[in-house]
Amino acid sequence: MKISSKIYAQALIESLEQESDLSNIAGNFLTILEKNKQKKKLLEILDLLEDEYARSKNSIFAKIYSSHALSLEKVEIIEQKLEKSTGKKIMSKNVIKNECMAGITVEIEGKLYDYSLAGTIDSFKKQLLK
Amino acid sequence: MESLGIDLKLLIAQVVNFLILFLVLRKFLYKPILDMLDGRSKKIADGLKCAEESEEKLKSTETEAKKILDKAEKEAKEIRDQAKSDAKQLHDKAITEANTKGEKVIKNAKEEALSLKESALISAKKELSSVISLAMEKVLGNDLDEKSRQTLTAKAINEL
Repeated sequence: MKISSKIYAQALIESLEQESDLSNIAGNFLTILEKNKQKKKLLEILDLLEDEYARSKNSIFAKIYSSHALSLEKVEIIEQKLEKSTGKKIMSKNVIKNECMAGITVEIEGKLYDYSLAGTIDSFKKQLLK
Repeated sequence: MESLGIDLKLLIAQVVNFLILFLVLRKFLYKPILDMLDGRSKKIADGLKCAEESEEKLKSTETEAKKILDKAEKEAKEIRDQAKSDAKQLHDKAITEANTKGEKVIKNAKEEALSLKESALISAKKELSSVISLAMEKVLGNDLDEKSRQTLTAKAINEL
């Protein structure tokens, strides 16, 4: 029976909460994946892991893309704004993405909010094509 | 009679001579001449009759010829009218077809021209937008200093 990536991610989070030996957890996890011939799903599972972890803590996971690392202060401001708009606690991660050029792009609950310079240029390009 | 100087014998002989001459002339001269005259008259009458008949025939022929001519003219007129009518119909049809074809060709040409224009416009827009966005990326990406970057990021956070 094929196990979905989401189930793997949830199981991994439960294991992390119950056991402190990370190398043991990682080893067992990889063994199970190999046994089930689902090693290809590893990246997808790791991607879901953050979302599922946040969900287990009654939070929403948000990815904040920027061309350079944001200061903690700025990340906190962004989280506060997102919490205000979603009404839920936010757990975020700043991902460096050079393509942004400047500004930020926020990915939350499968939606992308683009406030980057690259996004503005792209929007301008789309306007020109109309 | 003798006192009158008339010789009776001579008179009788002259009377007899006259009668003989009369009979001879009548027999050999008057009758052939009269017969000849009768024949001549008859010939003339026949000739006149023939002439009249010929004239009548001529008139009849002329009338017949006129009828035939009239009929021929009428038929010719009908044929000419029919030909004119057919020619007009063909002409009208040809003009209508030519107009229809012409309109179709013009319509197709217009549509093609419009399509080409739109394609050219879209292509030009794409080209222009690519060039402008590339230029913007180059200029802004390369020349963006840290301060500007921070300002833009702060602005983005405020817009959130």
